[in-house]
Amino acid sequence: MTDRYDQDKMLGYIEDTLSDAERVSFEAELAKDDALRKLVEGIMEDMGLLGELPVEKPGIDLVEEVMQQQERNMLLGEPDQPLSMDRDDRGVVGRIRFTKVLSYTAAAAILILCGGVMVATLFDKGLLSDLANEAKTLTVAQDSVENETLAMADMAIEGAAVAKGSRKSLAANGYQSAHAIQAEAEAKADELTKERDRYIAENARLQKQVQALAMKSKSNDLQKTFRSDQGEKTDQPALMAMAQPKATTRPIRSSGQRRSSGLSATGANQQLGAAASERSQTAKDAVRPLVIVPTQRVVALNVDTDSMYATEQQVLRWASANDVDVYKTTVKPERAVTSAQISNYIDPRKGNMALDQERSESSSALAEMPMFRKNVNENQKPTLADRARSFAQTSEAPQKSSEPVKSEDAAVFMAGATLSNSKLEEQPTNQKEIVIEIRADQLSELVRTLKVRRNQGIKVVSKPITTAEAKDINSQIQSQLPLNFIWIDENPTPQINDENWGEVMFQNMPLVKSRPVLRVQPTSQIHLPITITEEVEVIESKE
Amino acid sequence: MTQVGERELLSQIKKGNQAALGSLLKSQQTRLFNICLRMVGNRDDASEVTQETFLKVISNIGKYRGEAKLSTWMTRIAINQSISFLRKQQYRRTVSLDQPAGGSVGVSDDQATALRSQIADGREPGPDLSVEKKEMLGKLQDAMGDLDEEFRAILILRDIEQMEYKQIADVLHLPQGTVKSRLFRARLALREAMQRRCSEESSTSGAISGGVKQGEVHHD
Repeated sequence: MTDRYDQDKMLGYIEDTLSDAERVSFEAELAKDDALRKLVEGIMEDMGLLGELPVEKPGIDLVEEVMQQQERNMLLGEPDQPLSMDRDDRGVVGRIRFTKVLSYTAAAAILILCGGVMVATLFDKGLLSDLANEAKTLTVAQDSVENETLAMADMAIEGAAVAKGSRKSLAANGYQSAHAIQAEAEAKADELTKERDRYIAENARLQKQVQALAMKSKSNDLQKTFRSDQGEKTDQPALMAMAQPKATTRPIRSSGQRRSSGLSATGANQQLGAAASERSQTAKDAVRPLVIVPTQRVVALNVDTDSMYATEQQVLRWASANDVDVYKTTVKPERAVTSAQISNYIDPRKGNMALDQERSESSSALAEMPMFRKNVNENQKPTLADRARSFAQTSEAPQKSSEPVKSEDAAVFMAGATLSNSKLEEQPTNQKEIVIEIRADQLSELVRTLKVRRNQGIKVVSKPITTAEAKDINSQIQSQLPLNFIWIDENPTPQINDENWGEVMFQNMPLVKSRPVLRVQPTSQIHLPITITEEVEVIESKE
Repeated sequence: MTQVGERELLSQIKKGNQAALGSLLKSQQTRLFNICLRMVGNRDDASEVTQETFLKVISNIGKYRGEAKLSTWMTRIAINQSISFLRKQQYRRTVSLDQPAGGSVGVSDDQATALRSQIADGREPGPDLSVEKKEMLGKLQDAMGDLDEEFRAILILRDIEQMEYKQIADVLHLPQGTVKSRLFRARLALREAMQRRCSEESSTSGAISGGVKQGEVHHD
C-alpha cells in the first residue's frame, strides 16, 4: 500500500526533519491523497500515544535484589561475580587471592612455629627425647627378636636334617618346628608392635597434658594478677593444688620393655608442676597494678582490607534494613595522635591507664604501642615520661576538624566506619569512611552486626550529646557490647556540662579481661574516634 | 547524568565501590524496567529481564570503554536481554506439548493480551486520562504486542525513550539509514496493527449488539 509513497519524505514529515520546501510539497501531496493523509495522521497519532504511555514503577527494588544476589554469589564463591571479567578486575581478584594465600601461609607458619616451640620445650625437659629413645630401643629390640627367631628356625631345620639323616622326614619335622618357632616370633613381634603403639599414644597424651598444664599455669597467673590488683591475696597452695592433680591424674605404667618411660613422664610432670609453682610464686611476689595495653593487631569490620565492598555493603545493608541514611562516602587520612592523648596515657590520675613513671618493666609493652614505638631505644631504656615528651615534640598537631555533619535529632549519632589498618604511624592511604546517621540505641547494634576481623579498624564518630544520653548509652554498651572502653581525655580539666558526655559515657567502665579494648578519645567538636583493638594484654610491673 | 558525573561514577564502580554501582543501577532502574516492560509486555517478566540486565551490566561494566553513553550501553543490554527472553519464550511455547501449535498471530494475540492485562494490572492510570484515551492506550499496547521485537524495540527507543537516530543506531548496532527505514516500517506495522485491533473490536461489538448494525461494519 505504501510502496507508491516516498518513504523518506513521509518519515521526514512525520519526524519533522523536512525543509520548509519539502514540507510544503508533501503537504500538497497529503491534500491530494486522502489515503496518504489518513495514514500519516494515524502514524502521528500512534506516535503521540506511545509518548503518553505511563511510566511504570517496578513493584520491588530490583537493584536491591540483584545486589543481594551478587553478595550471595560473592560469599559462596560462585561465578557471576561483579567486575570479574575485566583485566583490571582480574588483577583485583588476583590480589585478593594472593592476600588469602598469604594469610593462609602466615597462619600455617605460625602453627608450625608454635609446634616447633612446643616440641623444643618438651625436648628441653627431656621428655620427648626419652620417649624417642625408648621407641628406638623398642624397634631395635623387635627387629633383633625377629632376626633371632628366624635364625633359630633355620638352625632347627638344619639340625633336624643332620640328626635324622632322612631328607624327607627331616624336612617334615624341621619345617613343623620351624613354623612353630616362626609363629611364636610373629606373636612376639605383634606384642612388641602393640607396645610401641601404646608408647606413641602415651606420648600424645603426655603432650596434651603438658599443654593443658602450661595453659592452666598461665591462667592461674592471670587470675592471681587480677585478684592481686583488686587487693586480694593469692592463694599459692590452692594454685599448686589445681596444677598438681592435673599433672598426676594419668600415671604412666611401665611394662617389660619400657625401661624409663614412667620415670621420664613423672619427671616431666614434676618439672611442669615446679614451673607452675615458680610462676605463681613470682606472680605472688610482684603485686602490681593492672596495665592494659592494646596490641598491634587491630580488628575491623568485615573482610580483608583489600575487599572494601563487602564491608561497605554490610554497612549499607544494615543501614537499609534499619532505615538509616548513608549520605557521605569520603576518603580520609588517618588521624594523628596528639600530645594530649599521650599525656593522658601516662597520667597516673586516669584510672584505667594509670602508669607509674618508674615502672621500667612495662616499657617494652608500651613500646609496642604505636604511639611509643618511634622513640623506643632499648639500650637507654628511657622513662615513660621521657618518651611521652619526646613523642609529643615529634607528633603532629591535633587533627584537623572534620566536616561538620548536620543532625536533626540530639540523640542521633554520626557513625563513621573507617577501614584501615589503624597503625597510626603508617598513615595508610586507602581508607574509606562511610558516614551514616544512626540513633544512639543503634550504635551497639551496628558494631555487633559488623563482623570484626584483624587488620582493619573501625571508627565511630559522633556528635556531642547530652550527659543524660551519655549515661543511657553507657549502660547500654556495658550490657550489650563485648568491648572494653577506655576513655582518653584530651582536656585535662573537663567542664562540668554537657560537653563532658564522652567522659561520662566511657570513663570508669568496668574492664573485662577477655574483651577487646576500645580507646576512646574526643578530638574536635564533632568526631569521636574509637579504635577497636583485638586483645587485652596484661602487663605486670613492680610497684 | 553529566558526562563528568558518569565518568566519576564509572571510575568509582571500577574501583569496586558497591555504593556507586548501586547508585548507577538505581538511577536507571525505572527507565530500564519500562523498556523491558514494553518489550516483554508483562510486569513479572519485565522485572526478571531487568534484573538480568543489571547482572549483565555488573559483570560487563569492566568492558565498558565509554564509546557510547553509559545509559545507551545499558539500554542496549536491556533490549538484547528482552529480545533474548522473548525468543526463548517463543521457543518454549513452540516446543510445548501442552499447547496446540499456533501461528504467529496466535502468539502475538497471547502477547498482546498479556501486555494489556499485565500493564493494566500494575498501573493506575491518572484520573486526568479520559476514557477514550485509556482505551486507545490499551489498544496501542495490544498492537505493540503484535509487532516483531525489532519493531517494538525501535519504536520504544524512538517514541518512548525519545532517542536520536544515532543513539538508536548505537543501541541496536545498526547503521543510521537502516534505523530510519526500520523505524518507518515499524510505524507502518504499528498502524496496521492498530487498524486491525480497531476493526476486530468494532466487529466484536457489532456481533454483541446483534446483527442489526452488521452492515455498518466497515472493512478496509
